[in-house]
Amino acid sequence: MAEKIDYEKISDDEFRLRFRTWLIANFPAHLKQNHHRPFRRLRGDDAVNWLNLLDKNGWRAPAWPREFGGMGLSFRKQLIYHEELEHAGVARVIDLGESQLGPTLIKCGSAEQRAEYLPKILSCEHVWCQGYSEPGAGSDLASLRTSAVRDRNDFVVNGQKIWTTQANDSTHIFMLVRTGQFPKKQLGISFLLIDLKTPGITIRPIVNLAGEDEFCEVFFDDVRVPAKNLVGELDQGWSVAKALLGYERVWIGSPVLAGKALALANTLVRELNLTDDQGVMDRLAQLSADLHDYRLLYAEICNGIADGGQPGVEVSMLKLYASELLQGLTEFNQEIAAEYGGIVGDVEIGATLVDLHWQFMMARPVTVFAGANEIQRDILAKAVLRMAED
Amino acid sequence: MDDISTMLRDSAADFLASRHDLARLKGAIGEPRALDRKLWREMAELGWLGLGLSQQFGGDEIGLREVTVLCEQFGRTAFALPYIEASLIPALILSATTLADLTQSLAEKLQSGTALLTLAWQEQVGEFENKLPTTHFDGAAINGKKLFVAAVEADSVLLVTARAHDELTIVAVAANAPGVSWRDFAAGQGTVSTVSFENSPILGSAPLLTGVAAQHALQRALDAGRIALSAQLSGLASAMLERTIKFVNERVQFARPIGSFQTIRHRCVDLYIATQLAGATWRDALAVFEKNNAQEIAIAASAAKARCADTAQRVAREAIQMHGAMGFTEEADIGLFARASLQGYAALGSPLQHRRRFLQGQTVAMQELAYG
Repeated sequence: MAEKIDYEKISDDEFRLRFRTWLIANFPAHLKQNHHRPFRRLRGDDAVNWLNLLDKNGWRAPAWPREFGGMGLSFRKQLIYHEELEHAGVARVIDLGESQLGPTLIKCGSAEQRAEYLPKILSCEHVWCQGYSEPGAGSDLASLRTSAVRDRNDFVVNGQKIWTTQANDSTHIFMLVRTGQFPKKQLGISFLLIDLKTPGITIRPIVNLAGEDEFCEVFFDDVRVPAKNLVGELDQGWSVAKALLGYERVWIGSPVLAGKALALANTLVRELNLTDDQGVMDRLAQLSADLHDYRLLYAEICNGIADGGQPGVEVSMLKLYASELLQGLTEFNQEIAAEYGGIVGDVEIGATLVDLHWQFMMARPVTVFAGANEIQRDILAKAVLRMAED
Repeated sequence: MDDISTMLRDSAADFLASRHDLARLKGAIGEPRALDRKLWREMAELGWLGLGLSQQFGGDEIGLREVTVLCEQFGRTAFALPYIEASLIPALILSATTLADLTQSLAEKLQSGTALLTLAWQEQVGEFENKLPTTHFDGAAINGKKLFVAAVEADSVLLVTARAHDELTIVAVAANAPGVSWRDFAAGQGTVSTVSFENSPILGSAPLLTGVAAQHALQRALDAGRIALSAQLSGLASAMLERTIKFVNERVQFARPIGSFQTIRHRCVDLYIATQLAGATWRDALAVFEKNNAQEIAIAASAAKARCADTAQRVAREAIQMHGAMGFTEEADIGLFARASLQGYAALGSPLQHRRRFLQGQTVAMQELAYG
């Protein structure tokens, strides 16, 4: 591994230039996002190879402190890092070990847990998925019932998780389990780390509307998990899981995907010769202005955090707006394409290969996952607008 | 916020709390109102009139940033005087002229509030400043008609755009000069006029501005006006939402505050997000304005005006609905805010037009966004 550079010692512009140059030279062209796959995500070997390449060159884990093998970037440089990934058309990787578990262990884990897991996250020896939702606990997550019962040095886990993204690509799962019953249901939940090779675990992929098998059901049948895999205190897992929520909500509100959808919209308008159709152009102007204005709000809030602020609960509005804007754009793309909008799969419109069904369907769950937008509105009404309670 | 802005904001809030009474705006619906000259002179004493004037006219480099601070406060209180039309815009037009006896005396009148200055440029509904006016200047007098002119009273001086030798000129004409007549309309909380000129002589011996200089001054002044108006509309929207949230938290039906119903809560959240977007757009437009690139200013000002106007109108409509039957009365203050937003919505270009102008300006930038 190359000697780790301390990027906080170079200027923002220099950092941007170095990362941009490196991305251009190193990200495989055939894996870039394009009009055919504007929201492309890498999976399997493609994902692992890319993450390893980042790691070898010192570009992995921008938010982790340097002492744990990360880049130790300030929030401002993290913003630049993400902007450059977008600029270069780098496909997304759902890397929950890096984005969620690592920071959780750094904040709430034991020294042993950090030593055991953090290096293997960086090397991709461990690939993590997140086991939160259950058939009876979606938006009402605290109602989860998958149980973990202490038996000598183990917990014995029974129950079922669902909507577990890429469980079928993962080696491990971090999850919330019920360890106790209290009047307040957020208590009695614990945060547990489980090796997916443990006997008693069954994974069943679910095909989604875009034709992909990204999320799964995971069944636990008397699964024995060493007690040392508990993160934080027993029954306090809700607080452990919430510890990172602020920054997560900032990243999930990024305007990147909407930007890709708008780029596709502009191409479609041109390829379909709609630039003289004032009705279409007025809708395009509205969507373009929506994205432009949202980028300004997003930048304002991110700059506030970069200047030393903390993400407050108002950042829930970012995910809310960005997700609905993304949907609006994909709907526009499908609608203006007329009959092409009904084609399921690849079609060439003019010189551009597109899959309008895929982009439309991939945008459906964004208003549901990571806290349905209805829940985000509840949170904002209560915590930001301080509206009366019943 | 810098020190000057904070000071201005606090002084504006004090002034508005003690001197601005919403009750005075009620009743006499549809009747044009004379500009409250006492209030106007008090604003002059506070040093607010003529903000934006360049140093050669006695300005002190206080510019659009400070004006937006005031305008946001004006919006928050539904303040009714035409500050943007009769102070900011004429100040920026005058600043582009060369110092002469005439312009010097106009600047003094503006700053002291002893006479009203106003720009008369529009000739058609929904017009932008990108074409030559039909109003004609023959070297001594003007002929033509202007629409939606604010602050036209007997002692006003109108800065009029006109065509001369197929060039744009801006001339000064006294409202009490021969051949000047006008008709007033109640608009929003104030008054606008249709003004006709028949062989009306100009003040001084020559136009204030001609050709490219006139075009630049006009566009810069109107875009500054759009940005300030955006701040005002954004203030209106936020104030209406705050009043509505207070109302629904207090109003009890079915034995609970109606603000506890999810349908009301979610609507308020959506309006809150809209006001946050509005604030971000005018603050950005202000920052762009300070960098002085006319093309970029046009894009940012149009984005802000479209967003802030749409937001104010949307919040106004929803606020009336959430106030229930009370919202439909002239007694409830919310309608005064709604009326103010009606005028601001379309003044200096409607959201639809501004989005078109924005999209046109952005086309180049968007092509750069395409995949490399």
